[in-house]
Amino acid sequence: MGFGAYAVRRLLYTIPVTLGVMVLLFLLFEAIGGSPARLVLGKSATAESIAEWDAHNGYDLPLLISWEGLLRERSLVGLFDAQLPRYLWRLSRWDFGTSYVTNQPVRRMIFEGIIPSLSLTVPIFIAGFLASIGIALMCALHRKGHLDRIVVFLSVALMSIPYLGYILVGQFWLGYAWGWFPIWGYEGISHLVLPWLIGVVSGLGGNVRFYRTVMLDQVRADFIRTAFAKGCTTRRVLWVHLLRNAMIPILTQVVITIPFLYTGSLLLESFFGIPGLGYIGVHALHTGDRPVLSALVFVGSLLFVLFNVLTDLAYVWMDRRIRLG
Amino acid sequence: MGRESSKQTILEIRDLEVQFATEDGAVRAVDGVSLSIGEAETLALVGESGCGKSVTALSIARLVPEPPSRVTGGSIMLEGVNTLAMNSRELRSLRGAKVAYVFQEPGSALNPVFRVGDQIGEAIRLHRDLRGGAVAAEVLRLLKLVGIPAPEARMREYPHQLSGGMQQRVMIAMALASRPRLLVADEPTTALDVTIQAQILSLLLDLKERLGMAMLLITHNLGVVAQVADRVAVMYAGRIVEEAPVEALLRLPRHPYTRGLLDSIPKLGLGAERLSTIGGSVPHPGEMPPGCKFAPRCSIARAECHLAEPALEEIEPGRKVRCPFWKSVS
Repeated sequence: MGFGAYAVRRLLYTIPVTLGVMVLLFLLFEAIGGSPARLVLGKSATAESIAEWDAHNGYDLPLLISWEGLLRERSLVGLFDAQLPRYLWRLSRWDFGTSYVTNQPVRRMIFEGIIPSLSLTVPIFIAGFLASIGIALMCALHRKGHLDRIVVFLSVALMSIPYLGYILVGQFWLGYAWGWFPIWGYEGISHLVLPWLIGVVSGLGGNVRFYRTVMLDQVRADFIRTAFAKGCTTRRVLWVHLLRNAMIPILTQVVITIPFLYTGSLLLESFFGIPGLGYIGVHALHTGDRPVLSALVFVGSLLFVLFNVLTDLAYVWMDRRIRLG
Repeated sequence: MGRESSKQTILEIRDLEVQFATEDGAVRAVDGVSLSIGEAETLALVGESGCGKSVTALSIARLVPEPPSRVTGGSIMLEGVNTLAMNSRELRSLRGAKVAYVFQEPGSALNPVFRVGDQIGEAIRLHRDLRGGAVAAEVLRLLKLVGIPAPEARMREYPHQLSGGMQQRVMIAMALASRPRLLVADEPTTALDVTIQAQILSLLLDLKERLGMAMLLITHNLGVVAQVADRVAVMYAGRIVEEAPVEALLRLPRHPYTRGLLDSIPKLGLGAERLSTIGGSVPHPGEMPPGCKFAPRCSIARAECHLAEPALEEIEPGRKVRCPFWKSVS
C-alpha cells in the first residue's frame, strides 16, 4: 500500500471515532446531566419558566430518537427530532451554543482564549523540546561521564519538585523579591517570560530522562560504530545517524502531547492571570458552564484524534521498515 | 622471513595493551599484542569470543569506546604513523579512508533509516572530492564492483529490503568507497547462511587481489582461515599464543590451544566419532591465572606452566608460539 492510500485510510478511520466522541459527550453532558434550566434561571425560577426554558432549548424532546416526530411528520426527518440528533448536528456545524454565565457565543470565547493559551504553551513546547534533545544528545556522547551523571541527578531533582513549587518560587523570588518579571496579567511578552521559564524548567527533567534513555539505547547500536568507522564527525553521528533513529520513539511521546497545548496550562494561566482556555475551563468548571466545558472537550478530542493520525504517519515517514497495512 | 619482509609493511602493532574499566576494577582485554601486515597480505586473527581479537582490530582506528576502554601501552603504526597518538581530526581522516571496516552483522551495522545508496554516498563524500551526480555514479560503480544485481534499483532501497548477503555486499562497497590501504573484516560471514558465507569470502578475496589491499580478518572459524588467509595469529585471553603461515599452522599446530581449536572442527565422513572439545572455559578477565593463561585447560600442562607465563618464542622463521613444550604438541 502506498503512503497516500495509507494516509487516506487512516484519515477515514477518524470519522467513526469522532462520531463516537460526540455521542459520548452527549451522554456525559446532556443525558446524565439533564436540563440545566434550574442552574441557568436561578433558585427563584417557577415551574412554568423552567418548562418554557426547556421547550425553547429542546430539553423537552426525547433523548435519542423521536417516534412521535416520525408519526407527526410522516417522514424519517421527524425521527431525528430528538436531543441526540440535534446535539450532533450542532457540534458538526461548530455551534456550541451560548455560555450560561457570560451569555456569549461559546465559539467566540474559544477563539478568543486560544491565542493566549497558544502564546503560552507553544514556546514552552518548542524550547523545552529542543533543550531536552540537545541535553540528551550531550549525555549520549558522554555517557557514564561526569556531565552525564550531573544531568541525571539534576533531572531527577527537577522531576521531584511539584509544579506548584516552581510557580510559587518563581513568582515570589523572580517576580516579587527581585522584581525581574511581572506576576499577573497578559499585556505582552514581558508578562509571558516568567511562565515560559517555569513551563520549560518544570518539564525538562522528565523529558531529558526519557530522551536520554532512548539515545543511550541507540548510541550502542552497531550502525553508530559504522558511522564513526566511516570517518563521520561526532556531530554528524549524533545529529544525523543517532537522532533520526531516536526520533521514532520520541515522536510517539511528543506528537501526542501537542493537542494538550491548546487547552493551555490550567495552573500557569490561573496563577498568572492569562485569559486562555485553561483559565476559561477552570472558570466554567466552577460555575457549571456546561456548553463551554463540552466545547472544550470536543475540540480537544478532535485534536487528539487528528494528532494520533499524524503520529502514525510520521512513524512511517521516519522509519521505512514499518509496513503499511 | 620470506613474504612479509619483501613487501612494505602496512600495519605494525607493537605491544598493544587495552584496559577496560569494570565494576571490579580495570581489566586487560588486550595484553601485549604485536602483529604486522604487509602490503596485499591477509592476516587472520583467530580466537574464541572475548579473547580480545575484535578489540585489537577496532583499536587500529580507535573505535573502542573510551571510556570504558583505555589504551595503556604500545603503538599502532599504520603506514608509518602511530594512530594511538592521533587527535580526533587525524582519526577522522584515517577512518574509512586508510582503514575501512566490515562488521559482523550487516543488518544492524547499516543505518536502518537511510537508503543504502545514500550510506555509500556518505562514505564517498567524507573522503573524496566528488559531489552531485559524480557521487551517484561512484555508488553505482561500487555496487557493481561488489556484485549487486540491478544496482540502480538497489541503491534506492533501505537495508531491511535486502537479504543478509546483499547487506554485507553493501557494507563492503561502503568500505571500499575511498580505496582503503587496509580492510578490517570483523567476522564478516558469521551472521550469514553457509552458502552466502562462501560467496562473501570469495568476493573479499577477489577484491583484495584486484585492489591490492591488505586485510585483517577476524574470525573464530578456521575453515574461513584456510580459504582466505596468508598468515594466522591465534589469540587466547588477550594474548597471541601462536602465529604462523596458514598452511603450516593448519598442518602442524604448535600450541596446545591451536591444536584444540583444530580438533574441535567437525569433519565430514569420519564416522560417528564424538566431536572433541577443549575442556573448561576461558578464564574471566578479572581472575587470570598467574602462569600460562591456557594452563588450566591444557592437556600437556606441567607444574611450571602454572607459575610463570611463557614468552612468545620464534621457533622457526615466521613462526612463533607461546609454549615451551611445543614439541610435544601433535
